[in-house]
Amino acid sequence: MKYVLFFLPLIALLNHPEIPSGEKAFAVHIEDAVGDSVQIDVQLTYNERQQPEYYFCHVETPVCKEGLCHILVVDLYWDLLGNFHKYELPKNRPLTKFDHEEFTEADYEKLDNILADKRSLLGEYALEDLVDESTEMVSQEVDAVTGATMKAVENTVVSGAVYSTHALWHLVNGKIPQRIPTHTDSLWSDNMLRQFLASDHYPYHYHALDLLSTEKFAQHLPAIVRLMNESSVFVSRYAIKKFPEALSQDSVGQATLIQQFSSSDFRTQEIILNKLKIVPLHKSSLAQLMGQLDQLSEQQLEQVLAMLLANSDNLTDATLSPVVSLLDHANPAYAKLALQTLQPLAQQYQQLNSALQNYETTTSNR
Amino acid sequence: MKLLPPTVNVGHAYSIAYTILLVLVSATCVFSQSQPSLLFVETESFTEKGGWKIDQQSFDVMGSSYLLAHGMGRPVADATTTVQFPETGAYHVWVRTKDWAPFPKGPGTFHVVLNNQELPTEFGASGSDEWRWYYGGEVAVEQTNTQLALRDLTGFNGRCDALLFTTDNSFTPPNEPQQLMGFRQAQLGLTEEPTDAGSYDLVVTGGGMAGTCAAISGARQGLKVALIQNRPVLGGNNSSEVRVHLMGDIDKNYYPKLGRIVDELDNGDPGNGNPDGDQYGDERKLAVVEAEENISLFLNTHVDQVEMKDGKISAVIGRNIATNQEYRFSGELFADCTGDGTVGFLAGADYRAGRESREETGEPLAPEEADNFTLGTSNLWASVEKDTPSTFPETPWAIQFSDEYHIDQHKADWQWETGFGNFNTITEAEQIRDHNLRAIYGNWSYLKNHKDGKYDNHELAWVAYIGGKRESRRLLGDHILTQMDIQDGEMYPDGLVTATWTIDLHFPQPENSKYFPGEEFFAATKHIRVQPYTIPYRCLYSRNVPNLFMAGRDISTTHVAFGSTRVMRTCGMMGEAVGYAASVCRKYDAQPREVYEQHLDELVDLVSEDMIEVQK
Repeated sequence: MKYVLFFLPLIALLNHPEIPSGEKAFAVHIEDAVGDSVQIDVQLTYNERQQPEYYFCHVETPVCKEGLCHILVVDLYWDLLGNFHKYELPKNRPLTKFDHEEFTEADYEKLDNILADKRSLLGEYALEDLVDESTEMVSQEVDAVTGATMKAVENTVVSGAVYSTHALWHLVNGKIPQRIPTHTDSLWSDNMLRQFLASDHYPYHYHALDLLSTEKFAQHLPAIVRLMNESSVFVSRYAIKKFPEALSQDSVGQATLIQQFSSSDFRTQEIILNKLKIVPLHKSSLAQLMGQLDQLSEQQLEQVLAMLLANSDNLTDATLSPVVSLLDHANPAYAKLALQTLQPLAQQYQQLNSALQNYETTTSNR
Repeated sequence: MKLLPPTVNVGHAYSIAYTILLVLVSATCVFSQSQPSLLFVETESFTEKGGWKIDQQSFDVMGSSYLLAHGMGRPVADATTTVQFPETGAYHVWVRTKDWAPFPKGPGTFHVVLNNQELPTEFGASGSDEWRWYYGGEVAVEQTNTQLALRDLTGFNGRCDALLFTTDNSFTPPNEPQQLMGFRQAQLGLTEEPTDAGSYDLVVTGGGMAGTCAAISGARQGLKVALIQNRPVLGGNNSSEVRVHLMGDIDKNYYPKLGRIVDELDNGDPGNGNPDGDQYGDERKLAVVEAEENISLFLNTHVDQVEMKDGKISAVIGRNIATNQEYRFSGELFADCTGDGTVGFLAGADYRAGRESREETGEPLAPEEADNFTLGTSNLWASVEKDTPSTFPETPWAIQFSDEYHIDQHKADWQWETGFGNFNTITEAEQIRDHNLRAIYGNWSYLKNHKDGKYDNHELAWVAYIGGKRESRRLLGDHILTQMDIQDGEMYPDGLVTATWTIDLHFPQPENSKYFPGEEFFAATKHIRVQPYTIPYRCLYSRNVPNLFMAGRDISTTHVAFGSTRVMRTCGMMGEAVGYAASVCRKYDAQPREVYEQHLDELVDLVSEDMIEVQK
């Protein structure tokens, strides 16, 4: 404690990085390494368009080992959902290890990775556990017996800076990010919704999609389609999963989904088919879908042909023709599925009879 | 060591083009002018494999091996063979294959070639992931002596089980599993008597660490031993085909004599998935076995049948994975070191699979409800950095990644793992391997094409096509090892093999689960540390098949205890113990249980005796 008090007056003399402007969002209280309760004010910064941009705080906190402390001075930034963004250090005040050796580039890189790992073992372990080899629950990350504890610690902290790493991780992943989403939601508006959908930050996409009503989904469809086309494949899938049933009954909604189908990966296609199979399909939708039969896997083909049967009152020659063509498919399973689909439709659509008779003649001759 | 033909032809060209000709007489053949002819060819019997690999991992499901074009994205050289058609003329061609990645269409395309003439049909991208016969059109066979070839088009794991040529245009080969099995057996002549491969004191099935150690241990005690392995190399998960390093300690043993054979086989620790396969010491293992006069080694032989007499196993029948020749191995004692517990399963041994409930075992680490969860299978891989850049194609049929989620690693380690109850590790071994391949290729494609040049000079050096399986059946013995046995350090009078590994039960990594629910391919674990403890001898023999030993991952434990016993140095020591016990059995004409009941002191004395230090 004496050590801390001795150094505190010096803090004012340190060079700080330029502190961004913002408004106070909220405050949290944390217990520092010497047992004092410290208030940290968290600011919300805005960009030039006056949109919320980052949460930010300036922290000065003691980091101690066996009674000897030094002051860690750092500025921390999170995005609007509490995901850690970056830290900044005062000029001439780099991070150091116990022997006052400065962090290397590799140390900083490792620290970045550690701080970004919300599930780090540092969340489960008290500081003293990190230097305690007798712990039973060793690691989620290593597959080794001997020295497993040490390996776990090595992966979780910057070597020689266990205490700084621990302190920083708990600041970055502790109370502050827990409070941020609530504060952001309290500011939620149509402008923010647009901001989130237009951003290139995946967590914002998920958040916006979670908050959309059916009405808002339809209203923001162009922005959502942009996500489907340009965002991560996982966001794209999520957007389609969130596609409201009411919208997928509509011809525009169906066209949107079917348009995505051909350019999507298999898992996304699977989600699209699951959306379409529970609604009545329009003639144009059926025709578009049947135009892609040859590109489908057997499993998908089975699903799509089931949709055809479920919408049997809504078929046209254009819809049926690709199915008839499948009767000659090189994969016998495809031909069989086509046959099983067309046979029950033959009474309703008599133009199928000649194709089916032709198929029977051909196969019996082979 | 004695080597019996033809199983010694490891890595060499097989001298016999094993093609079976069968002329079918069909009264209903209305379109044929004369009796139709039929030629059935198993692709694994091609004389030259080119770059294609024999895959027997699904033998128990398919009843056959097949050829696999494992080129890591580069087309492999043709597999070729010469066949004798019964007559020239027009034949209908049938090809038994599948689309291994119908998402929606896979990459494993290939052509069939007759006398350097490619048939027009491209196989392997049908969109169907079931093995089936596909019609390949009609071809004019102008000379009876014809060269066949399989021509890979992509290097992405196209596969072909068999080819069939028939002059009968009304004939469609069977797809239904039972019918196909009968058809295949008829074509291959498998209903006839298997070749006698000898009679042994101890027949060891499985040439991984446990089986190899069991065979060596038994042989050194003077037993006449057959060692049967279904791959061309010994070592199993520690071989160059799988590349998992040996774990578990041998220097903390209650009986230090155990572990010395393991040490002889140990080629050092290259880690998991080292790009240099030589470091895993296939040759060392083979050399140690070859030095044993009492061992008859049968590589490339998959055991798929047992013969029983008076409730005991009297023989196992194995089929050569290339030639399909069947062999009968008779014996007094049998050791199931297959990992899957295949011999025990075929013999009707009691077994468990999946997790027991906490109520059943009383183990704190057991789940509330029993389930089918098992640890997964790893297909390890490695890239190496080259002087010049290389390309790798986009892989739309593989698992898809983005900057939001991908695995930024130049090689694999143990975490690359599929299973976890999503797939059955025995009946769906092929699907598990293929899921692993889709993860590997999809991620690698992402790294090569979307990481701003970081991996430009990296090239895939090796991808395992043989899965490193962790868990399948556990055969039950007179004792079932539990978590309490391990954590209490219970020392039973028959405690023989010292184990040291943590209770290491993998589960899907949470982030991987978030992005790929139900399709996870990346694992995490929690190590529960243990003090060295001993595995009782009663875990090493079947409780209801009297002459059956087991060693390796299929011994008698709960799922939780298996989490600790499963590592390969420990498995090897189980094998050593089985070899010693088998020698006591022979001395007294006793069964494994009787050794525990009547001769335990002698067995303990045997593993306690001093032994001359083995030169490494």
